[in-house]
Amino acid sequence: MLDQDLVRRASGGDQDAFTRLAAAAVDRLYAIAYRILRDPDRAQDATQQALLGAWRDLPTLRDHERFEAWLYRLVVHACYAEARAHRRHIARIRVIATNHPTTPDTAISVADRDELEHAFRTLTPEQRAVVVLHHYLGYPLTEIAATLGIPSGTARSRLHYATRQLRAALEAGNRLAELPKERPA
Amino acid sequence: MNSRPSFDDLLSEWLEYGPAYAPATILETVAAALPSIPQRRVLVRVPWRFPPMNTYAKMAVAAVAVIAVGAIGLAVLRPDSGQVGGPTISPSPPPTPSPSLVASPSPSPLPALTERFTSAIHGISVAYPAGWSVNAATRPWTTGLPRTQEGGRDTIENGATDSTFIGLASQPLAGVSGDQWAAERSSASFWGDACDPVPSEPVSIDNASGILVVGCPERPMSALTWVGDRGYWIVLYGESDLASFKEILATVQLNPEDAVDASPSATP
Repeated sequence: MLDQDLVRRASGGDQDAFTRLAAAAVDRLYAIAYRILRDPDRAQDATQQALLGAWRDLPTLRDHERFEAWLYRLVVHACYAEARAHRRHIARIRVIATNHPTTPDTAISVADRDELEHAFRTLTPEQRAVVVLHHYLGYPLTEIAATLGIPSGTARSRLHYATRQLRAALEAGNRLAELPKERPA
Repeated sequence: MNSRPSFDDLLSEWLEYGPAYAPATILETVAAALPSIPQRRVLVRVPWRFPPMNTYAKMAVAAVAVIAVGAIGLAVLRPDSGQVGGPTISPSPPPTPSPSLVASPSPSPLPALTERFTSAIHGISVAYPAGWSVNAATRPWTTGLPRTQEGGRDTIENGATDSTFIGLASQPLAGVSGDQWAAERSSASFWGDACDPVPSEPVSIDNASGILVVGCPERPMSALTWVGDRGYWIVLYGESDLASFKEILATVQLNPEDAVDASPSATP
C-alpha cells in the first residue's frame, strides 16, 4: 500500500515524494509491462512512459486511494502504445534470456512454457493485459474493468477468448508430444 | 499417479516466470526527467464524492433532474426547432419498414462527430469526433484483412482511450456480386476465428446496400457495403455501442470514382 500523504505531496509538485512513490511501484509496473510485451527493452520504455505520465497527470487524479490502480492503467496503456509503435517488427520474435531471478516451478514443463509463450504472442495487447491482470495480479474481472476503464463484459470477453486461444495452443502441443507413444510397437 | 495442474494454474505459474525487479535505469531516468516535465494544473476541482444527502434532498435533486430533462426534451422535439442535420439523418423514425440508418435517440458514448476525413485511397468520406487522429492508408487494400501496419486501411483513432478506432478500406469486387463479397468478408474464415456472425443486419449506407456485422465479441463491429463494382469495409473497434456505430455510418459518403486501385502487376 502506498502512502497517501506521499501521493498528496507528489500531486502538489513534490518531486522527492513522487520519486519515493515511483521507487515503491516500479518493480510491479515493470513486471506487468514485461509480461504484456514479452520484451525487456520495450517493458522498460513502457514503465518509464507510465511513470513520467503519472508525474505529469497526477494533479488530475481525484481519488488518491486509487493511485496504484491508476498506475497500472497507465502502464497498460503505455504497453498498448509500445505494441502499436513496434507492430511492424512483430514478426521478429526475440528469444528472451532465461537468467531471471525467479525460478520456474517444475509443474510446468519447458514444452508447455514454449507453447504458452508462442500462443501469448499471438494475442492482442488488450487481451494480454487482461490475462496478466487476472492471472498474474489476481484481479477479478470487475477490478480489471475498473482499472482499465472498460466495460466488465469487454474484460470478460477478452479473457475468455485469450484463455481459449492459449488453452488450445497448449492442448495442441501436448497432443503432438504424445503422438509417438500412441504408435504400436 | 501423475496429476496435471489445471490450465489456470499453469498459466499463472508461467506468468510468474519472468523478471521480478525493474532495471535501476528506469528510476534514474524518471528522476532525471522530472524537473523538465511540468505537472498539469487543475484550475477547478470538482468533488469526487458529493457530501451525503438525506432522502428528501435526494428526491428533490431527482425531481429537478427529471424536470430539466423533460424541458430539454420538449425544446428539442418541438416541430419548429429548426433541424438542419445532414441528408442521411432523419429527425424522426421514417415510416418505411426497410432498414435504414437513423441516428439513435439514445445518448451516444462517442463525442460529437464534428470532423470529417476523406480518404485519398479508398474513395470514402466519414465524420469523426474532434481530437481523434488520422492514420491514412498509403496503398490500396488487396488481400486479407486491411491492416494499418500494412498501409491498406485508413485508421481514425482515439489515442486517449483503449484503442478505439474507425477503420476504412475498399477494393474492387473482382467479378463477384456485392453480397457475395460481403458474405466472404464477414465469415469466420476471413477473420481467422470461430465466430460466424449470423444473422447479419441489412443496412443502407449513403443509399447503397450493405450488411452490418455484429455479434463476435473479439471483432470490431463492421459494415460491408458495395457500389457498382467496389466493396467498402467500415469498422468501429473498441466500442460496443451499436447506436454509435450507426451514427458514424450515417455520415459516410461513398465516392468510388475517387478510389485508387493497385496496378494489375502489383495485385497478387
